[in-house]
This record gives sequence, structure tokens and C-alpha cells, in this order.
Amino acid sequence: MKKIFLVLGMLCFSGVFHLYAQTPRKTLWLSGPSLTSPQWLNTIGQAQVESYKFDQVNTWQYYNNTNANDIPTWAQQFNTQMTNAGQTDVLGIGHDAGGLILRYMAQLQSTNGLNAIILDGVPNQGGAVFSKLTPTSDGILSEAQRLVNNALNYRTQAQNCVACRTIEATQSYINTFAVPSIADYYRKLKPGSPLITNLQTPTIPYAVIWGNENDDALGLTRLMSSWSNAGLQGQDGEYLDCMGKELEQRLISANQSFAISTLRAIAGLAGAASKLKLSQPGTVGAVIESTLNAVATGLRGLYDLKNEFREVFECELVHQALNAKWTLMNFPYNAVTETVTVPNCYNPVSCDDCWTQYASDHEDQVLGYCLSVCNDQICDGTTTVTVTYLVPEPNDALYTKTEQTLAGAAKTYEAIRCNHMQESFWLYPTVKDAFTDLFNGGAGAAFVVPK
Amino acid sequence: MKLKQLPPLLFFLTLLCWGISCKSNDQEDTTTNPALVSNCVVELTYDAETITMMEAAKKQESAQLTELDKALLLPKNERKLESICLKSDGKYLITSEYLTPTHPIQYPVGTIGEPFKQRYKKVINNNGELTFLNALGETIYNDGTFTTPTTEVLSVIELFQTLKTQPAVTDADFNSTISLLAANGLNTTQFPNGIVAARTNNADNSYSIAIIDKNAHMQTGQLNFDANGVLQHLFMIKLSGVAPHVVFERMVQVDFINAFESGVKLKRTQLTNYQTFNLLF
Repeated sequence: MKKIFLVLGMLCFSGVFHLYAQTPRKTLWLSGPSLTSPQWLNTIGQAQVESYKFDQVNTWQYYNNTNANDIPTWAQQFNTQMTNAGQTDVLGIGHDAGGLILRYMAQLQSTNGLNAIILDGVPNQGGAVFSKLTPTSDGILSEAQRLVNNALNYRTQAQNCVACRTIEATQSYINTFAVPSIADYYRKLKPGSPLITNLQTPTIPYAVIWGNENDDALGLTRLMSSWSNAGLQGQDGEYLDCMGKELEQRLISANQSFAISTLRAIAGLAGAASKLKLSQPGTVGAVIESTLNAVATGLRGLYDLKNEFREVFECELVHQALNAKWTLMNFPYNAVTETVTVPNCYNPVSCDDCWTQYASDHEDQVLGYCLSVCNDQICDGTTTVTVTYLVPEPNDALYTKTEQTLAGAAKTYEAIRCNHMQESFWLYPTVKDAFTDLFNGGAGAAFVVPK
Repeated sequence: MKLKQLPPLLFFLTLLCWGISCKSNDQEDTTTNPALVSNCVVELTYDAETITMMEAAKKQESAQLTELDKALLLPKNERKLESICLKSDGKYLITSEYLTPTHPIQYPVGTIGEPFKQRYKKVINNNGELTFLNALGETIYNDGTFTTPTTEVLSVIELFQTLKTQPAVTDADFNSTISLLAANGLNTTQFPNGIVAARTNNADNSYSIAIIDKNAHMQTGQLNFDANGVLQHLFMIKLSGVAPHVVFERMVQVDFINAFESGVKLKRTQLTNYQTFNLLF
């Protein structure tokens, strides 16, 4: 019996010992300014829930006013703070400009206790996007501001294109980069700026996580949703869901109205002929009048419907264009030429002739007749059409893969389907997997955070 | 200590279960489909494939299109199964379901200017209430409305009932009707092959030209012009048979918009091929 108690006692002791034997790792979690980086609070909480043991370097001053100093100044301040505190074996974890501060810390001083750094969504080579987001000088619109203004102007053609005020939200975000103090901060992050060119490859171990927003071609709109949800977990679907819903409802309503109008077109004139045929002499006039009214109403209805179709399409186009231009102006891209299969339809009579004729005489009714004849199309099998499309370099909607990666990393992780604002949330599996692997030693002992 | 950690642990476990990817999952709530309306008096079903293409309306202006404008001209192919059921009391059920096109056009993820993808697979319009469903048949959302009035549906039904119960309309009857309408104010122009172009003016000075095929006994196209006489959109239907016993074969729709960057006038053409077209009444 005593032996049993002895064994149980040893087991308990070993368990307790195991619980308290691991010394928490000292960590320094730094995000960038709020415009381009959510704070780490949520992730820190989640890592603790996952039983990772770590303490944190005090960052109160930094988060109290991130834009108060430039990056080298913050690096110097943290170095002083950590040296004075006698810190050792510190793991730095940085998102966005926070990663650049960590790199400067490692570069400026070797006695700060910083032993390894995780660079998550960091513009290691600078962010070309800031050339477009910041005005060349105060009082002049940035290229990004001009783009949004164009989108708003174009949208006025689509009179009811509210689309959940997505463009206005984008405008508000982009305008903030034109505030002089903020523009000054971000101009320094451009590739080729002294701040970036003075950065050396870290001499302590470092790992890289880079974001790849590859859901669709709507990265900017997703980034806007994630930014507005930065205080939560960076969910990226709200604007798209809201906008999609609005447009889908309008389009489906128009489509289904058109389907009912089609039934009216099939039965309308034949039905009128049938009624006239059966009409008593005294009622013919009334039948004719009601038929004339029905024809006019039907045509007007289709006119309005077609306007609705076009307006929905324009509304889609303006959002597509905003995102497409954002990608074109910020990220390198390749042109890919491919052939796609389409039905092989052709007109026995060339419709081009109708348009040419119409351009010279402007006879509306002749055009209608001409098109009705030329559109007597024959469809026979399929044919191929050559299409050229543009595929951008992988990016997180703010920085490219090239800008985020850094040669010589102990390990590089891809946070797929994550835009820039989502890279620091463990809600997203690829981000969590990367951190878990690092903390568990997957990239070497330098990144281990004990459990 | 462990017990104290339990509530936040459960909270974060909930978050973890929720967050399976970067996408917020908005397709989780399921509701039963709306009850089907039965006893259609007019029923139309078709399976149609539509390819959409865009180009400069005037070929010589193509060179003015910017790189962005060109990137937004990607062709799109979609196939839909549409079913329309009109009931004798003016109620209706319309379903639209997206099917995989015979030759789908697929672009790499993230292609610049990639056309919007609709998030639903099927829409059910049960007497004005829209329900959007995903591929699993789950409701994505159902707060949409549709505003075709009952009177509109009833008048369509009445037309079909007339054609069903009365003697067939002959070519002579139809010609006579068009002549009567023309004599009473419908602005028409006769063309060869039984084509009539009829013009109606709207109060805002916009106007439409309806293309009437006297052989088919129905309107087979329409051109819409704005108040300045600029063509806005048109559609033309290719069909076989005589109304109301017709089968749609193809439909061409064209509309004009301005390119985003250059402002060049673009022609958007949608060519619809009907695989099946069944009209019952």
C-alpha cells in the first residue's frame, strides 16, 4: 500500500514538475501602424490558450502612439529598454512595419537579448504600394486617390449602384494615407528608400510568413473588409457579401421579369389578333386601343429592364475595375494567352454591314430590320477564341511575395488565402500552422516557445 | 487554475471551430425550401447557355483601350436552367439554377478583371419572395423581393387562355391586326421577309423599335434608344414555329457601356443558345 502511495506521489510530483519546469520564453510582439496592421492582442490570447508559455516585453509606449517615431528610433528605444532590463533569449514577432523594427533592433545592437525573429507579412524589400498610396507632395492627390475618384465618377452612370458603400469605405481608407504625418511615415517604407536600403540581412535566426490573398481578383475589397474588422479577427467577406447580395437580387429580379416579359412577347400580338378576330364590330376600337397600349407598355417595360441589366453590369464593372487597377498599379503581372472553347455561331449575313450602313444613314428601323436578318445565326459545334489575361505576382493585397520574403530565412511559410490584415490572426489555418510549427521547433530551437 | 482557464478555453475553442479558413462561413444556416406552387396554367422551362463578350463598339477605337480596359473584357460563359410557372390566381413560381456550361471558361485564381462569380447555385422566387440556395441546397439568404404584380401575371395568363380556347390565328388574321394597329397610330415600317419595325415613343423622349415577325406572329426583337437617339441596347430572338407554339433557338442581346478608363464605347454581346425550350399552357 505504501508503495502505491509512493508511486502516485512520484507521478504527481513529476506532473507538477513538468508543469512548472518550462521557463516562459520572453517575446516581443510588434505590429505596424493601425492602417496596415492589426494589433497582436487576439493572437497572443490564442497562443496562451494553446498553452504556449511566454512573457512579453512591455510595448505600452509603442502602441500608445505608433506613428510618434520612425522605425530606427523605435528600434533604438526597444534596444535601450531591453538592455537595461537585462533581457535574454527574446523571440521577436513582427507584422508589417513591426518586423522592420525588429530587424533594425537586431542590426543596431547585439546586447538587447533578441535571439530570433519571426517576420510575418513584413515589407522586407519595401512596399511599392506606398508610391501609389502617398501623394508625391502634400496637397496633391495620390494615384490611389485618383483611382477611387474615377471609380466614384464612373459609378454615377449606374444611378442606384450603392453596393454597400464599398467604394466610399475604400476612399476613406486611402485618403488617410494622404495625411502629412502618416504619408511621411509610409513614404519611408518604399523600396529604395534609405530606411529599406540600410537594412541588412539579420545575423540572428529569422523565419518568414508571407500572405497570399488568392481567393479571387477582389483583393482590395477584401482588404477593406479585413481592415474594418481588424479589431475582431480580420474577416474579409463583409463588403463582398453585402455588395454581392445587392447586385444578385437586382439581377435575378431583372432576369425573372424578363422571363415573364418573354411570355408576354410570345402571346401578346397573337392574342390580340385572336381577340380582334372575335370582336364584335362595336368593340374593335376598344380592342385596338388596349392592344396599342399593351404594346407601348410592354416595350417601355423592356426598355427599363434593359437599363436595369446595364446598370447592374456597370456597378459590377466599377468594382472589378477598382480592384483590377489596384492590382495593375501595385503588383507585377504576366500576360497569359490561352484559347477557350465557345459555340461556333456565325451569321449568314454580316451584321457589320448593318452597323456600317447605320453609321451613314442612321435609320433606326432599317437597323432593326438589318439586325433581325443578320442575327439569323447558325450555330454549328464549337470553335476556339484566343484570350489574353493578366495574372499578378502572388500578393497579400498590399505587398507582393517578393517584397515579403527574405533570402536566408530558417523557414518560409505561405499564408494562403490571407490578405495582409489577416496574417496575424490564428483564426486562419495557414497562419496558425506556421506559428505552431515555429513554436514547436519546426524551424529550429531558436523559435521554440515552450508549452 | 485549470478551472479558471476553462471559460476562455471554451471561448477560444468555439472560435477555432468557427475559423476553419480565411473565409467567414456564411453558408451554415439552413432552412427548408419554400413550399412549391402547383397547378401551373402557363409553364415555361428552358436550359440555356450564354456567352458574354465585350469589345470596342467601333473596331477602330480598340487601340484607345487601356490595359485596364482590356483586362475587363474577359469573356464569360454560363448555363442556366429556368422554370416559370404561372398560376390561375396570378401567383407564380420561378426557379433559376446555374448549371456547368458545356465548355466552361476558367481563369486562374486572381486573374485581373476576372468576372464576378455569383455565390448562389439556385434562386427560387415563390410569388415574390426570393430564396438563394447554394450547391448543397442550403439557403444562403432569403431577404430579397421581386415586384412583378399579380395583374401583370394575370394578363399574360389571359393571353394564353385566349389562344388556347379560340380558333388558331392565321397569317391573314395577324397581318390584319398589324394593319389595324398601324392605321390607328402604331408607327410601322414594312420590310421584306415579313418583318415589321414598329416604333413607340416614351414620355421622356426615349423610344423603342420593336421587330415583329409576321411569319412567327410575335415580336422577335427590340432596339432601345435614349432621348438623344443613341442606341442603348437591343435583343433579337431566333426561333422556330408560330406563336404561341414556338421554340427559342438563340437570342442575341447587345448593350453599350463606356470603358472604365478610356471612356471608349464598348459593345457587350450576350449570345444565348437554348438547349431545351418547353412551353406548356
